[in-house]
Amino acid sequence: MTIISCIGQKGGGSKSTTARTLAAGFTEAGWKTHLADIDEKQQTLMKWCRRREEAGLPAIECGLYRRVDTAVKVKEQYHLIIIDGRPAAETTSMDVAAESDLVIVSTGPTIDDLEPSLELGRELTMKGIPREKIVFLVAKTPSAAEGKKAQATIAAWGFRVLNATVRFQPAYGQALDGGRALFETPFKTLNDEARAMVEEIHDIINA
Amino acid sequence: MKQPKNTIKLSPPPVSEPTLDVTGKGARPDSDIKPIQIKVSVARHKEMKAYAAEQGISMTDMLLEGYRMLRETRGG
Repeated sequence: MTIISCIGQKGGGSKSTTARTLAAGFTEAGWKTHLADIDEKQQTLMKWCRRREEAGLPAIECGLYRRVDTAVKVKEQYHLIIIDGRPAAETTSMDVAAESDLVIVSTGPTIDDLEPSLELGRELTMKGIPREKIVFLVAKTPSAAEGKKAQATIAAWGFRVLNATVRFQPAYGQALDGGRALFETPFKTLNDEARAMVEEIHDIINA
Repeated sequence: MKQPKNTIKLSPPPVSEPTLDVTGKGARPDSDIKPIQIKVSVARHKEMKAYAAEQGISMTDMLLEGYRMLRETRGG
């Protein structure tokens, strides 16, 4: 049983997008996967799962939890639990990170996005989360060059970063609106890029 | 000749620089010291304090010793 969490220092960093895409990818690959939504206010994952079901897509198990420790109580029933963190980092971020086998910090490529995300990573490590448990994902990147520069920045701060990036594309937003994951757009290239991200995470947790 | 291109957007801060503590005060390393409070009668308090003083140990040491002994007896 594995626990992956998606956390970030600010909203809009593609945490929920990453969590949903991973859940769809691992479910498709036969992993009994559970999406744990700990954001009672927004319930982004719960609503997406409902949209997915209404669209007749393969269902993904999803639960809403007030507390992180309650969310991980169901771990024995699943191969994988994916926890989507709250919009901004706060005390639960440490609880989530401590319970996780892998912590994914997704961030946009701009300095405004990178700096708080890297500071969060630094804080997690200073508070005892092993550096090797943390991996960064560059999302919403407008170009490959911007993505590469963001990846180099993350590496310069001493963190692992996924080779895969998630581009800023309207088709991704439309897919999520329709209850789909990032690799379920009508466009092969976009789907392949999103799948590459899922596969990289798969390789990390199976290493 | 052109200047070399800057390949990163942001340099890492010195290791000694404190973090913003965005994960809050509840997120503390295990080695931090945290107070614990118990409520007892005034008489019991006096008795415990006096006993600790007689033994030449602090109340903290006395209570921790009691905890250690209980763990040894009961296990767990």
